[in-house]
Formats: sequence, C-alpha cells, structure tokens
Amino acid sequence: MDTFNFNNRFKIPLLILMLTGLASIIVSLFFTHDHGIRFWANFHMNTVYITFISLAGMVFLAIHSLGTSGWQTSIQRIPEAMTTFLPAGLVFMMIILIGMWFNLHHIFHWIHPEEGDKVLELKKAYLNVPFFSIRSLIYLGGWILLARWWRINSLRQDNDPDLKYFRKTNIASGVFIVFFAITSSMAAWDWLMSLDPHWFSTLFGWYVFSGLLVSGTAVIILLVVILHATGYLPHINKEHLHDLGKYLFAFSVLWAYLWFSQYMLIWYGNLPEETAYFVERLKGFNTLFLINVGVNFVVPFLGLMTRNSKRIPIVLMLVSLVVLAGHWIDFYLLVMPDTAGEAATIGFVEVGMTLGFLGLFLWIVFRALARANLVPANHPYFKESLEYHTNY
Amino acid sequence: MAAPRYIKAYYDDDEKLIGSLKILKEKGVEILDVLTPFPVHGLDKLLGYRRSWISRVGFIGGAIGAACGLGFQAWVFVKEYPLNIGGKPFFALPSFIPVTFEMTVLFAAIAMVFAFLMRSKIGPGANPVIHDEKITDDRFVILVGFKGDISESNINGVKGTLKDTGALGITLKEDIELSKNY
Repeated sequence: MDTFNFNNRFKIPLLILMLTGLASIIVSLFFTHDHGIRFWANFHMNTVYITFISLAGMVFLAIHSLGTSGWQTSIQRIPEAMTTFLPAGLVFMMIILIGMWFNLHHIFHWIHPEEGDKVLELKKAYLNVPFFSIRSLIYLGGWILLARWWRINSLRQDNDPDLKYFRKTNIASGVFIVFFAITSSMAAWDWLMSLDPHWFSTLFGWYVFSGLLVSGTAVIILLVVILHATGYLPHINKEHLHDLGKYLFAFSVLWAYLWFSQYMLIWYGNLPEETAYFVERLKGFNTLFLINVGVNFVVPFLGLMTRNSKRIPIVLMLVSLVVLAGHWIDFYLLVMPDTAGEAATIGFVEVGMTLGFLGLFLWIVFRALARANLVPANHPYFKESLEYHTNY
Repeated sequence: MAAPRYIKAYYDDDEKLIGSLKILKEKGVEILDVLTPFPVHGLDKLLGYRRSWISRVGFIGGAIGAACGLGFQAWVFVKEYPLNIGGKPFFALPSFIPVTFEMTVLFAAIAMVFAFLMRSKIGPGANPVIHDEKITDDRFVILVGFKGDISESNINGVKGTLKDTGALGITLKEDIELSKNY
C-alpha cells in the first residue's frame, strides 16, 4: 500500500503560508496602535475556526462508524489526519486562557463587568475565569483523547487483521458522539456566544455545529481532490466525491436553516436584548452580513443541486473553496463585532493570520498522512468502499 | 392463429437474472422489460436506461411553488389587505420565508408524484397489466421480444437461449388476449 510522501512540493508552500502568519502576528502585535486587540481577536477566531474544522474530522469518523457505513473507509485516513491538529488547538487555547489569567487581553468582557451590571453578576457563577478554563480544557482534552484512541486503534488494524481494533473504534465513536453532543454546544457558548455576554440564543450551539460540519466537509473534499490529483488514492472515483458533495449540499442547507431560524425569531420577537446582536452586525458589517448568507447558502444550494455538478471534481473544489471562505466570514461576524468592534477590518493581519493557521493545520495533517498507510487495508468495510456505487 | 407477441421468462434469483440478461444482450435478443420484486443493483445500467427526469420535474414544481407562495403573500399583505403587525413593514420578507419554503416542498413533491404516476401508468383509473402475481413476491421476469420476426424458427431459437440461461419457466404471450380486451 502506498504512503503519502510529504516532500518539498508540499512543504515549501505551507512554510510560506506559516511565515505569512508569523509576519501578520508580528505586525498586529508591534506595528498597530490598537493595544493588540486585533491580534487577540484574530488569534481567538482562527483558533476556534481551525480547531472546529479538525474536530469535524472526528465527527465524520464517528457518524460513519456508528452508522456502519462502508463507503468512506477508502478516504477515512484524511479525517483521521485532520483530528491530529486538536492538540495544537489545545496549545492555542491555552495561550488565550493564559491571556485571560494575566489580563493580557479583553476580548471577553465578562471578566471585568461594569459596576451595577446585574446580568453579568448573575452569570458570574458560570462565566468566571477558573470555571471557563476548566471547561475549555475538558472539551479539548476529551476530544483529543477520544480522537487519539480512535486513530491508534485504526492504525493498529493495519498491522493486525484482528477485528477487536475495529470494535474499539466503534466504542470510541459512541462515547465521542455523546460527549460531542454536549460539549459542541457548550464550547460554542463559551468561546463564541460569551463574547457578547448579555446576548443569548438557544439554538446558537447547533448553528455553530452546522457551520463546523460544512467547513469540515469542505476541507475533506479539498484534501481528497488534492491527493487524487497528485497521484495518491487512485481508487477514489466519482461515487465517493458524489457522496461528499451531497454532504456539502445538505449541511449548507442545514446551516442556512439554522441561521434563518435564529434570525427570524429574533427579528419577529423584536426584544431589545436579543436584537442587539443583529443591530450591531447590520450597522457596522452590513456587506459582510449579506455576503455571509448569500455565499454560504446560495452558492452550494444552486451550485451542487444537480447530480452532475457533485461528480465533477473542479466544481466540487470551487464550491468547497467558496464555502470555506464563506464560513471564515461567518466566524469573522461571530467574533469580530464583539471583540475588535470599531477596529475590525479585513487587512493583512486578518488574512495573514488565517493563512498561517491554515498552513500549520495542513502541515500537521500532511505529516499525519505521511506517517501511516493512506488506506486502512484491513478495515472490514474497505472492499465495500472500493466497489461503491451511488445512483442519486 | 394468434400472433405471438413476447415471451415471459421466469427466474428465482437476482444474480441469475443479471447473468442471463448479460447473455441475452450478447446474443442480441430484444429485451422489452424486466420486472422485479425489489430494485436490483446494476439493472438500470444493464438495460441502458437513461437517468430519470423526475428531479427536473421536482425543480420546476418547486420553483412554481416558491413563486406562488411568495407572490400570494406579497399580494395579500401589501396590496389586498395590508395590516400593521407589530410595526413591521408590509413586505416583511423574513416572515414570508417559512410559507414559501413549505409551498416549494409541497409543489415539488406533488409534481413529482403525479409525474411518476402518469409516466408509469399507475394510480387511480389506470388499467395495469399484471404479468404474474409472483413478481410482487419472489419471482423475476424478463419480457423478450422478437424484433418483428415472428417466424417459428426465431421463436424457438429465443426459447432455447432462455432455457440455456437457466430460466425456470417460459411462457409465450399471444395476441389473443389483446383482442379480448378491446
């Protein structure tokens, strides 16, 4: 079985991306006059965005494992490799937590509430720095342990055809799905919704979760197409791409459904404490707000509606790139208005830092791909994946 | 003498059916139709069926539904009976979206169901031809034609081929029932 060769052809572009990210960090820390607020806001946004993308790899593995599906086994090393970014996400989150403990940044307003702010005084029981830190570490620690357990057993299966490893991955998937169902919502509250601590939305967790599924699927598609185009994974055909395209289509529609549900209820109820969130975004970020809905719903909906468009790699790749950029804008709108506020722009710092994070993410993913066989040859459903057909 | 129309060949296994269809196609025998109790994998490709156009019907029906839903609400709430609801604008697009969505789904679904019933010639008032009741249970049937050549030698040749492929039973269907029906 062939393994991925992580050579300079991949390393040099990724190094350039990471150097861009480093340059943007230096620029944002030392050459801007906003007390590092843009650095911390961007750092937090990219940490959460990329960590959620890598977490989507584990969600992909877990739902297919529990659904005993077979078609994905020939590409399953890609989401497996994506999960290896999670420890890096933990490191970045630790930096943000250290910043909180030592008052290096003020992106979480609830750390220092204003005098007489009764709402935040009541929320103090949940929103305080020690409990927040413990929660963040529990989420990331749990995800890392379960993803690691999954991957170790999947790799052991390569050397040993004994099916006990396969069964262990199933157990890991079951535990993960339950853990993830709770922690994905809570992580969304803590890391994103608490940026505006007065505001609340009950479906916020699902909204972030649906965005996670879309961007994770887009990354899987891009990696599959890139690996196939460079000569790896020769057994991947249109049938596998078709199914991934269906996911991208369906999750985009799910995201749009949740986005609209949240917007319409708040718009219709018209309560000041709820509308504050959208007023802020419609005032200062009007263009991005409309682009967000347009790009993340209309492009995948119309672009991937027909059967043929899901089976053409170029179309799938273009839509994936558009959707990834669109969900970057979505995260920008989640984080920036409440943290950077008036200082928020899209310039070298924003783009550069995302490119840097992307470079690091892909570096870790490719390194993990190079360390193991590209196909899980002993997986009991592997042959099924090779002969997979899908009609509609 | 009644003119022969087609032969019904019975099978009891989907893999035998596929194998026999491959042999029949090789020998150039005309295959009119294949009837199965459940969807057999790869059968549509073997028979050279083109992709169903039902999804296009769904799209057109959905588009009409969306236009009707949105248009009707806009007409009612802006022109025909404008009401001030909570100070919202008359053309309150977000509140129209759920109804538009439901109308899209409804129209698309109904359009596809009726297109399917009409194309398949089933549904209320239809006069379906039941070749054999067993094909709804555990039998597979291939209907074989003669390409217009109804000489006895050709028919016997086709029958022989079918027997070689392992058909359980072979019945010759003649014109006589057709004249009875009319």
